[in-house]
Amino acid sequence: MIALDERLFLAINSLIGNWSAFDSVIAFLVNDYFIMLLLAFMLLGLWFWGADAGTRFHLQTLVLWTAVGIVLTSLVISILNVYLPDRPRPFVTYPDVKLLFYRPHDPSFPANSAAVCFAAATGIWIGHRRAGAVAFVLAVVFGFSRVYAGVHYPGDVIGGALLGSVSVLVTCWTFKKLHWIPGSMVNLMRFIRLA
Amino acid sequence: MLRQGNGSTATQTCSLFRLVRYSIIRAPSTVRHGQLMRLLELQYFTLVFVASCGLLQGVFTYRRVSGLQFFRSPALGYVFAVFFFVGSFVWFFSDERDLPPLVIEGSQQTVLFVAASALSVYFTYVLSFLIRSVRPSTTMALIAGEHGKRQPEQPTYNKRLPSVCRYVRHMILRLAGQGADR
Repeated sequence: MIALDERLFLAINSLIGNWSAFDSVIAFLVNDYFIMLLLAFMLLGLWFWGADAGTRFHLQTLVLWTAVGIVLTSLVISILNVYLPDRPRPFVTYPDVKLLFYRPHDPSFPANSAAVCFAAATGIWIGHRRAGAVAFVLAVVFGFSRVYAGVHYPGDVIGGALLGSVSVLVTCWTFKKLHWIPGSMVNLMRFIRLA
Repeated sequence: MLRQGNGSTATQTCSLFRLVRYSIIRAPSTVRHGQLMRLLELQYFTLVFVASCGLLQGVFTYRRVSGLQFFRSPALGYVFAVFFFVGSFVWFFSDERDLPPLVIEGSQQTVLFVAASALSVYFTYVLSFLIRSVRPSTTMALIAGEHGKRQPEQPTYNKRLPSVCRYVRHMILRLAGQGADR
């Protein structure tokens, strides 16, 4: 499985240099801000999207669930980084890998940023299907760019994506049982005029 | 362009765009890594604030939240939204950040994003309130007269504006009245 993952990585990474325009696009998309910000702004838009008070309340609780899910994802990744053996980054294992990004120092598995992107995309998808589809496309593009740029194996991104999506789904399911928690949070936000 | 060269010096390009920008945010000619980080955080905060203002106008225009729109015309609202949303991204990403890489950590990004977007919401409240205060009250009646009926009432998030805003309005009107008396 790991061998397949590494072969797939090498196949994707070997494409660097064939199309310089495509490399430039990926080098831009792979950064820590652009796609993350787009997803965050989609969540912000969803916060105010509801046409009536009921829908707005539902969407706002959903955005809160998603935020909690993202925090949970980061927490799980931190725990995994402590207890799982570190998987070295591709550029450490294969020094001749072509890089379009700086060299991060944290373990390769799971891909933290991809996990956060997929967590956000899952939350958006639950609230608004069409926006969610766009968010998933952005998350997939981000995951691919990380592999293409030489900072993650495909398995890291897939692992992160599953972790992020499952975290948000679990959070949503849990808070359906404990609906008073996000409800109180939204009421608090309304009190300070942010909702 | 902020370039951290061999030591801790940074050079700036002479482009008018960046010159104006750095004059606003006061980037010194010699900066250290910590200062560059603070600068990047400030830029990130500004990006989120401006883009949020644009995004909120887009959403409020689409949802016809009349109380929070800066413009009566939806077309102008959309133009404002696109200009500020896209413009802020162009502004932020037009800067070339060279090695060593400057990265805002995820948790820090979250804090900055929440703070800037919350601030943009309050900014939208205050600005839309001030715009509505300045707009002549007869305009609505004229529109109502033209179309034979009142514009549909839309839900607003600030039906009950904070008393601070009312107080500010009261003070402005009072000061204006005093000025007119003199």
